[in-house]
Amino acid sequence: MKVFRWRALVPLGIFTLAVVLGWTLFVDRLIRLGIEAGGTAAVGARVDLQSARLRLFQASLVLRGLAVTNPRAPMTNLFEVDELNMDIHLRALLEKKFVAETMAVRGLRFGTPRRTSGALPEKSKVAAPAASDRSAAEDGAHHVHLPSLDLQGLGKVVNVAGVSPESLHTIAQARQVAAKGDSLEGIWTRQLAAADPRPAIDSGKALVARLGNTDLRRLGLAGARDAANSVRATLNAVKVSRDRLTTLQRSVAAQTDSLRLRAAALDRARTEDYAYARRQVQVPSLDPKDISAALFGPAVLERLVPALSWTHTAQRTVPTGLAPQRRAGPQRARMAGTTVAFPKTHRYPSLLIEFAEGTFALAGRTTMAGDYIARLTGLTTEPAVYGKPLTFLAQRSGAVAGPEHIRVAGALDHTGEVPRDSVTADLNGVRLPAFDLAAAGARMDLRTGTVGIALLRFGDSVRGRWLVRSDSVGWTQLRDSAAPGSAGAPAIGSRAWVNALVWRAVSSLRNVQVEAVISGRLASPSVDVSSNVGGAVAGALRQAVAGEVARVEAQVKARVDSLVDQQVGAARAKLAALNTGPLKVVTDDQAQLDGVEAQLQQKLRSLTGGLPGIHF
Amino acid sequence: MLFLKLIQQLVKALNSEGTPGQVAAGVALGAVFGLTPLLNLHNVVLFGCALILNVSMPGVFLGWAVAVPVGFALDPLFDAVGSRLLLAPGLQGMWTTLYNAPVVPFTNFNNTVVLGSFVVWVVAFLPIFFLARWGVTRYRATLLERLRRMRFFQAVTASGWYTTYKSLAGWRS
Repeated sequence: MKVFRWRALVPLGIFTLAVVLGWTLFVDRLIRLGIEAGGTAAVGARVDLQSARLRLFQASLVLRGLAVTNPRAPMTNLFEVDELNMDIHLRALLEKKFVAETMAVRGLRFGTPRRTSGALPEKSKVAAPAASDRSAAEDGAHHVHLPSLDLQGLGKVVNVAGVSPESLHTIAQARQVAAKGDSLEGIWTRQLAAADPRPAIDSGKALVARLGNTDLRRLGLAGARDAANSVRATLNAVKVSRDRLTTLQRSVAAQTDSLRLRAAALDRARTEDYAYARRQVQVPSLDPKDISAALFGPAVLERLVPALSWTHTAQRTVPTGLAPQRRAGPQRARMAGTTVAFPKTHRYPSLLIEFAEGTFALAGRTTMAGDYIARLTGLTTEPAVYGKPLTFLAQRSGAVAGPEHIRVAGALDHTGEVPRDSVTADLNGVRLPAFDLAAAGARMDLRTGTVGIALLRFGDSVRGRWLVRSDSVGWTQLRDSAAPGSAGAPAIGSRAWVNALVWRAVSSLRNVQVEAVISGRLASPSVDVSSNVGGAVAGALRQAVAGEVARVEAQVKARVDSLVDQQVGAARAKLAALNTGPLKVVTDDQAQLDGVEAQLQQKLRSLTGGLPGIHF
Repeated sequence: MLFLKLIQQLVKALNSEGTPGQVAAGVALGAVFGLTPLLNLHNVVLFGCALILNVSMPGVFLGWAVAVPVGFALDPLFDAVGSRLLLAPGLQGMWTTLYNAPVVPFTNFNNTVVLGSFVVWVVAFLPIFFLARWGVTRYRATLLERLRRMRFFQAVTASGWYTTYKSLAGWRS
């Protein structure tokens, strides 16, 4: 029987031709559908592409009419591009990878309106990764504690009994310190008993005393040798005992230091408890930073969420390291499974755009509207394979209204195991938006000013600064917070009273500076806000209610002190006991062993050096 | 309609002039198109092999048709097998080399379902072959003559599909 069916070569040839013909006819369409499907899955909203044109012999790919929907505003495009022209690596295509040496971007526009909605059906939205990034960022922002400008506790009888011991961190921490001290004391007592140096000390002392009055010449050679050997054996026992004690002493000292640090942290915890208790009785801090945070905190958080969201997106889409990367398999009638990528250094990454340059425009008449030039290098899904960070720069070349100078630059370095991202933005002489300061019942129109943004991310840590400065600020009182007219003076501490006081303090301010510093972990960052507006409000509040606030604060402090003093005292007493107990015993024993060792050394020298030319 | 076509494939394969070995080889080879996700490079290569090797083409289509529902049903198993293999520390070097080699990535071997189903097909190839050969032999020895006398059988063999197939059967061997 024949193994091969040679006559089948004809249909095989036809089949191959059909595949090649199909590829030639449909490859552009397949690329277009692939980009639309992949983009839609990544963004979580519709991605449309008018056409794709692959020219294999020229090694180029041209995409036209790319529109990416803003997932949060489906009738608006996140961005739209007229044309993307790329020079591609054919060898990389053979490895099912896409590498573009250069990419020219023409007609990039942000925030353009869509004719049809780009929203996905409900079930697709759930799985959209961009939505999960946003959700993670919002979770992080929820961890930021913002003080309030609530003065309702003033002028009333303060119910300090409402501050319960269970809610104070100091008590819990003090109990932990005391419990840890008890536990350490027990452990050290057992270890000290096991490493008891008394036998070695006693035997050393006894030997020194025995040899004290012995005449070396009367011992003779053999007697001197025996005596020297006894001294050496005892010396060894002393050294072993001392080494054991030294190890124990180091451990005791290190753990005592650690406990001392925890005890020192009790003062910080007590300060936080004062602030907590003050909030409980509705008396805010008069610290300018706290008041700044109360005034501008919500506006800062509103801007922090997108920044954190992009950080999560960068982490998800540009992973670090060379470990195999898992992602969901392609959507099909069959089970999708998991697709695993196996990156390798000195090879092509799955996706790489080495250099891109182009111009773009931001629509509208907002602060950022205008024409820009942009440059980008090293955009890849596997930076560890490519070995260089992604860098980008966008600079304004012409404005719709106003200035002047806008520059955004940054780098995403995911080449190592720990991601390092940085973004800086400088906007000078731009039209700034107005802020509603709900806590003050006023609107602050910054008009023209300066904005500086810097955001650094290192691993799980984030550090950032947002600075806004303007010297032509306008103030408007919000309608529902205007001071009552004929109704008489508002009650001290009431919302109307606060609004009126804040309005008097800030309405004459023309120069305003707001600075927000973000720090801490990505999952739970902290925000410090400072502003001359906060300073002015704090000053006005101090003038108006300093005495009242001081009275309430004193009551609050007294209540907190009465609740925490006993536990803090017990924790500190335990620490002191550890210092005077096990640590002192170990130190004393060591001193005794050192003394005995010195005596034995001297005795050994006299035994071995007493007879010339004799060494045992 | 689909069921009728399946019956036609079955009848054609079992009654073709190919030997039981040729039909069984076709069934075993065709099973890959049903067991593994279809649109992958290895299936194009194996289809070319099915054309050029002297196996029964009706057998190939029969194997394909029977394996499709089996493939769907066993997807969770394929996923588990593929995951085990792709994430096995001892095989990382091989997968990395293949992933970065030309052409190979178009097989989508790095997808758990594709790899798992392909490996299961490779392992099951010989059992499928021997089982199919035994089945065809037994069928031809015992059932064929009785079936030929059934009206349903006559209707199927008299259909346009079957007639066309018989007229093209010349290049079968």
